[in-house]
Amino acid sequence: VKVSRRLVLGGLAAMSCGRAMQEPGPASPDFPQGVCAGDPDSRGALLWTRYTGTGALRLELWPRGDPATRLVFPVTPTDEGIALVRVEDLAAGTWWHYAFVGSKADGEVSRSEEGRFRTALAADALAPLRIGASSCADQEYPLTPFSRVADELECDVFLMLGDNLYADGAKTLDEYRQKWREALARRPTQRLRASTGLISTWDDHEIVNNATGELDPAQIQAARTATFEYQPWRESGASPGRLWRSIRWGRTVEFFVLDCRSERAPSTGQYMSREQLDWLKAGLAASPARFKLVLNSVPISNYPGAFFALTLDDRWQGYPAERTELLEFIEGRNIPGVLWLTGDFHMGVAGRVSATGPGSTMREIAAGPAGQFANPSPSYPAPPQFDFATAEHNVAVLDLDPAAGTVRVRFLDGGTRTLFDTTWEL
Amino acid sequence: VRSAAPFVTLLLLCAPGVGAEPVEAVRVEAVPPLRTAAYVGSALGLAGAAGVASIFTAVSLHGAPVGANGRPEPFVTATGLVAALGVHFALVHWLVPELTRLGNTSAALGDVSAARARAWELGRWAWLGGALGAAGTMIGAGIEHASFGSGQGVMLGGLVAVFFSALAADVLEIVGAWQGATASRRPR
Repeated sequence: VKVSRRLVLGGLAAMSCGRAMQEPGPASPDFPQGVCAGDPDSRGALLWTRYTGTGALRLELWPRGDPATRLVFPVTPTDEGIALVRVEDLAAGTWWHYAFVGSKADGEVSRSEEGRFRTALAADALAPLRIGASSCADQEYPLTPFSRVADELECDVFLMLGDNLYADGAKTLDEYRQKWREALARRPTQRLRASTGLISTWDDHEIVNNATGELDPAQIQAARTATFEYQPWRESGASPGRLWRSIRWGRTVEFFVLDCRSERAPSTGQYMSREQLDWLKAGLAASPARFKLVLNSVPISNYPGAFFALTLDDRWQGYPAERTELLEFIEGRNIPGVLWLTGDFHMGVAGRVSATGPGSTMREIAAGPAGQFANPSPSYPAPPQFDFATAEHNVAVLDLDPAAGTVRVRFLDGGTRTLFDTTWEL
Repeated sequence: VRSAAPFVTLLLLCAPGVGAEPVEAVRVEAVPPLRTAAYVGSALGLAGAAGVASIFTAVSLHGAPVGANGRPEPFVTATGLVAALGVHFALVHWLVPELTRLGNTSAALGDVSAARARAWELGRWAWLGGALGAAGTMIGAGIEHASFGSGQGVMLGGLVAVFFSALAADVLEIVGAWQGATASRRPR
């Protein structure tokens, strides 16, 4: 469902009927996977839930601090129960709250958890932002860092960098959907997704361990369909199902979301399609944003040593031609403010992309794991190339200051500790 | 196991005393096949259990600094490997010869000391290979501790050496112990 200005006005009219003014109660079991606001841009976001009730469903949306100004929109879920509303024409840079409400014949209502999100900054705005990020969120783990984000931090947007669930074992669409339902039934994940807007990519475990584009196309398509159903992502009109995209938040930051899995073809040495690579290069070069954050599900950093060489073929390092082309392009054009964000490694890392050569002027942060076993290597990245590495379950928090050109980087665990805190000039 | 077979075969051929002759020319009842099978099965099971215990030891020690500080310490990982090899040696070398008692019958019995001596005779070079591998891992840990990425190859080489040496040692201990027990077999 796309909600444009006309529908927003309609919603304002609906507000006057009074049904939308009911106070929020506890979340109903009719919304077993919680809510989410995906891909927030300067005009709106994709508001999502899964509804298992039988009555009519509506979305209520109101600006922060003004619950009386409540917009109401009718929503028709899919057979799977997925309700996705594209809300547009909201004011840029503002916080919005929302909830889905199901009506029953007897007049009772079932209400989802209340979610919130911030629309992206206006195109020419330059303001500090707080970004959260993590990865590797196995639904079998406690996922305490997510709860901490929901409890303590108000991130302007949160980035999930892949392995956002572990769907291993699934092959059919129904099986992938079931994995998503299980993963999103976890309260820490629901609370995180309700606490702010979400921009995410996928990695192998949304499909299967070490997935590439050379897997059974039917399996990839099933995983893709389920992922698009449960992760509110903006689809490209020209290429439905295409994952890679960019979202700009004013002149502060532009997020470049990569697909590092489904276009990969190890048999031909292709890490990603020429189309995606050229799109990324052109986008980075043209972006007016002070910072360019690349959501790159598998590290582009050069990890030296024999233990890390064992998994070389599963990351950029195993595809040196494309990696070098991209890094040399960025450095050759002197594109400022590029920061790589990654996951996959079951290890939080902050450091430079390379010790020497292409990438040595750029930095990468591996955020997470939010919940996974520790990377089994007997040695973790260390100076001088790397500033920090940890296997503790974590989220990374980035405070972007575009005026100063600095990023404060913190790694927080699922309790009360700050594992690492530094400021980089980019 | 398959990849270790040539190495094991080579060691068997090179080892002295294979097929040692009986000390006395006395007719001794042969070990019944079922008892041989019981020994082999038990010894393989024991070796497997020793392997699991060793891995548990190594992983526990490796994981201690990860749990405490969020990251491993190469020296601790290498120490874990040494401890794992020690656990494996203790379990296999001391317990496998004891299992040769399964070959004893009411008519004849073997000598556990002879079994252990023969097992050591065959298996010692494999154990030495394991010890060298563990030492290599320790040296690699020192290099890695000084400079990330520089000692991992040596550590990995040592780790592989320990694994295959322990595998070879298991086979040689099992074969050697049985040889020693049957060669020392005497009427009751």
